Order: sequence, then structure tokens, then C-alpha cells
Amino acid sequence: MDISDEQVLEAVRRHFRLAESEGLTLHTMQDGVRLDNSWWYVPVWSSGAVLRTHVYHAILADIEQEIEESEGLNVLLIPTEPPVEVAQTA
Amino acid sequence: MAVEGSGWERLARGCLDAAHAMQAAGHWRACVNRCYYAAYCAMAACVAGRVTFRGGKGNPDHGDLLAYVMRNIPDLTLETRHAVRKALSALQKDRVSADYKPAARIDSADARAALRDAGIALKGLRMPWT
Repeated sequence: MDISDEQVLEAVRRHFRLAESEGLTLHTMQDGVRLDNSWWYVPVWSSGAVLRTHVYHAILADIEQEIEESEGLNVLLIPTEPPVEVAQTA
Repeated sequence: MAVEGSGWERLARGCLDAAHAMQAAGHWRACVNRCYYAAYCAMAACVAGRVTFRGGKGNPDHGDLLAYVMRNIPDLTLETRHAVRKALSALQKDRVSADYKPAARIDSADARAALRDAGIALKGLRMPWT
């Protein structure tokens, strides 16, 4: 099935609520989304609570799993810094 | 499960031993790094001879590990497959932070979590010494 970057982002964002129970708000953007060997690489960054590094990464891994199970998409969420324009206005 | 004689199993064990040594010495980032590579080598042990590594190299591409878990190790239960996938994914992210993000906070709790995830991956992949 062909799927666009935008559709992948929509699917990913549907599962960001998993992070909200930890006080975390996740963000992503189309720039940097890429497909490699049937896996979607999606940049993400967070605002809100500051979690331990491993806790944050475990939440992202949980979201990846949920996306695979419910959307049938193989996604890797890549922790990244917010874009400069976002960081400057935050 | 792992391909005997590939040497990857031995590397995996060495990495895990090194991870414990780094933890004992308080080198949290090095511990996280070795935990990831223990899991990486265990994955390589499981798929060596079953897949052609990207670019014809003798080792797996880091970006392919999760795909291998999901597709190329047939004798895993779904539960184990998901547990290994989650542990590997978290370890990959931890390793990048430990190695390339000096501003990231990596402490003893992160090292313990990485050791736990490495254990999940190694047991799930049935390394004979786990």
C-alpha cells in the first residue's frame, strides 16, 4: 500500500496521547520524514515534562509498537531537537 | 537459534561483561553503549547466514535490526518479538544519546535500564549463556 509522508505523520500523531499521561507533549514535522526498507523514520521532539533519558526513549518505543499493531506501519521515532524557529519562540 | 561459530555470540557476551564493568566503574554512558552493542551482536548472531547484510557488509546495518526482529527470526513468539523489538528500539535511542549528545542526562538509572533492556534482548534471542 502506498502511503504518503502526511498520512504517516497523521498516523503517528494519533498515538502521541500515550505520552500525555507522562506529562509529555510530542511534536513532529514532515521535514526529515523518510522511508527506508519499509521503515518510516520520523523525527520527534518533546515539550512539557522533562523525563529521564531512558524513560523518554521507552515511551517512544511503546508508541512505535502501538503504531505497528494498530496501523500496520513500521515507524522509528527519532528523538531530535526542535526546529530552530520553534526553539526560539518557546 | 544463533548461528554457531559466527563469533557474534562471543562478542555479545563480551559487550555485556563490559557493560557490567562500566556500570561498576560509574561510566554510565559507556555502560549504555556496551548494552546496545551486546544486543546488536546477539541480533547479528541470530540472523548471520539467514540474511544478506546491507551493502554486502559482514555486519548488520543498525537501521535494519528492528526489521530483522520482526521478519527474519521465525522461531520467536509474538510476545518475545515485541519485547525484543521494544528493548532494541529503546537501546538504540539510548546509545545515540550516550555517544553523541553530551548535554543529555545519562545517569545510573539509565545504565540500569539499559542493562535490563539488554537482558530482555539477549534472553529473548536465546543467547545460550543467558
